[in-house]
Amino acid sequence: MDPTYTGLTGELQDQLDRMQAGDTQAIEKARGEIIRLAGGRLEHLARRMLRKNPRLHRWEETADVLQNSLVRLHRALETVKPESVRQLFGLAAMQIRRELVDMARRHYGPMGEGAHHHTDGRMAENMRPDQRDPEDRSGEPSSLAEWTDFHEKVDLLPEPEKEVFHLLWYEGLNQEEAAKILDVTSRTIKNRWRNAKIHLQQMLEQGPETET
Amino acid sequence: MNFSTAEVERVLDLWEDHRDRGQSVSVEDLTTDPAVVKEVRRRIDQMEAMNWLDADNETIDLDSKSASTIEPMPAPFDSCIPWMFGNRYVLNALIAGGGFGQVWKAWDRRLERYVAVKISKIDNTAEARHVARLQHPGIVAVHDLGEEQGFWYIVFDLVEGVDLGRRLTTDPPTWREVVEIMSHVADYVQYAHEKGFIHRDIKPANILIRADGTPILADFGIAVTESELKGEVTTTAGTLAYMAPELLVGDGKRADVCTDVYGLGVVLFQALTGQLPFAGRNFCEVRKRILSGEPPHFPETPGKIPDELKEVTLRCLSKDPDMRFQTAGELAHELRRFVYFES
Repeated sequence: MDPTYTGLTGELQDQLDRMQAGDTQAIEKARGEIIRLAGGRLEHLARRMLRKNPRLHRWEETADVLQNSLVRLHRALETVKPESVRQLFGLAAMQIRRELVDMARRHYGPMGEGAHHHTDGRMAENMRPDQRDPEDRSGEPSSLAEWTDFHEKVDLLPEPEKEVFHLLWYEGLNQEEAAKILDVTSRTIKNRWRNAKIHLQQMLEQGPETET
Repeated sequence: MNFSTAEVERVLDLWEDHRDRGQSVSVEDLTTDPAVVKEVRRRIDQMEAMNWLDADNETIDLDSKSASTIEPMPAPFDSCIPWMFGNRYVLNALIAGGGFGQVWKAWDRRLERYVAVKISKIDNTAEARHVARLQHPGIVAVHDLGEEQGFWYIVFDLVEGVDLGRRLTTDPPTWREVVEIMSHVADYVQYAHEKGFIHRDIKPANILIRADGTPILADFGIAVTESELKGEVTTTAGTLAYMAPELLVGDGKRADVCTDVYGLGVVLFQALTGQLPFAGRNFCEVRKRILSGEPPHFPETPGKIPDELKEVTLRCLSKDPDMRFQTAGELAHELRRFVYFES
């Protein structure tokens, strides 16, 4: 597994250590590493989100979607002047989430390329949970509408849970790495991750907010 | 039913610790308070419904096709697409898929000729009106537009021939042919600039080569007028390998004439050498090389490329927009020198 895309590289870990030891210049070096990490995660999560939507492939080159999101991600992270690696990670996660929401909205919205396309076999966004494919037991969102709802619900989590969720899920760090960045214990990370999942499930059970 | 939140958290901690060690334990083994048992079970159910979040560590293979390199999905026949648009254009054959829609060869029943029909789920009236304002024999003309059963369509000239991308792989042109083609294309881009348009996506796939060898510039789908660009600071349209470095950094630089000159330079380099000037295995690599890579090296080619032509190409690819040709017309003029004086 390539470490760049699955967690902190040794180099970034060194930068973190140096930052915590008072080396403020380390932030610039860490920035490049975080951008690489965030770009990889954005690509990974976008592919995961889009893979169950064959209709999207019909209307849009996945490469175009990803490329434009990656360009924006890079530009957003290069322009900020973060005070800490923690803040930079937070911005990266927020940008990843924003791009995924935009991507889903663009293709699911009323003017989206995939909207009203009758060949989407399951049309999952129009189904109640009990109508879904019984073989699909993963619980993972299966339509762009559900993905949009999911990403929006993440934003409603209490701040400590959201911060942990960002680091673990949007940025793909492990719990030890997240604990180091947030300067808390692994137990705290574990509890916040658990509570984030429980809160998310409670919110998702209520379904998406309907526009009036 | 009343329960202590702290006690629920404590039991959940214990339950998770057992689970993480691979040990099965019932909630009742951890607490005797029925209210806590009930609440912990409820939370475990909710937590487990979200277990898919933990199954997220799929390996990403850097050598696999990534955002910057993957090919578009082939566009299959779609039974939802009407067979006729505007009671006039009968679809005949799919020419291209992906991108921002599908392009079909179609029979125009009224004028009894073949045309190209671009179909999209997005209202592309703006694109059609853009292109309609450009009337030049070197730019694909738009003739009609409309909407049919939720599909928007634009009717273009059908250009019989191949695009430059295909030509480069099937029948690579000599440097003299490249100069001839690109001097024309630079002229077309100059015309578009004079009309206030920036193309933003100049690449071989958008340069069609007619049967007589003359090029024609297509796909103004993401072109914008300079006035439209004034309010836009985050334009990201285009194809990465052909995007100018100033568009990839976070200073809010907008696309302008010089970014199209850069795109012309990338196509020129690719047409002369068969290679992209800045390539990589993934998005990050390509981006990094565009931003900070050394000027590309011209590989050995069967026909010796004049050094002056290499310099012209590299000038288009300057990182600093001020170092490039300041107009596409200037580039066309430089290229034409080779046509007339180097033979």
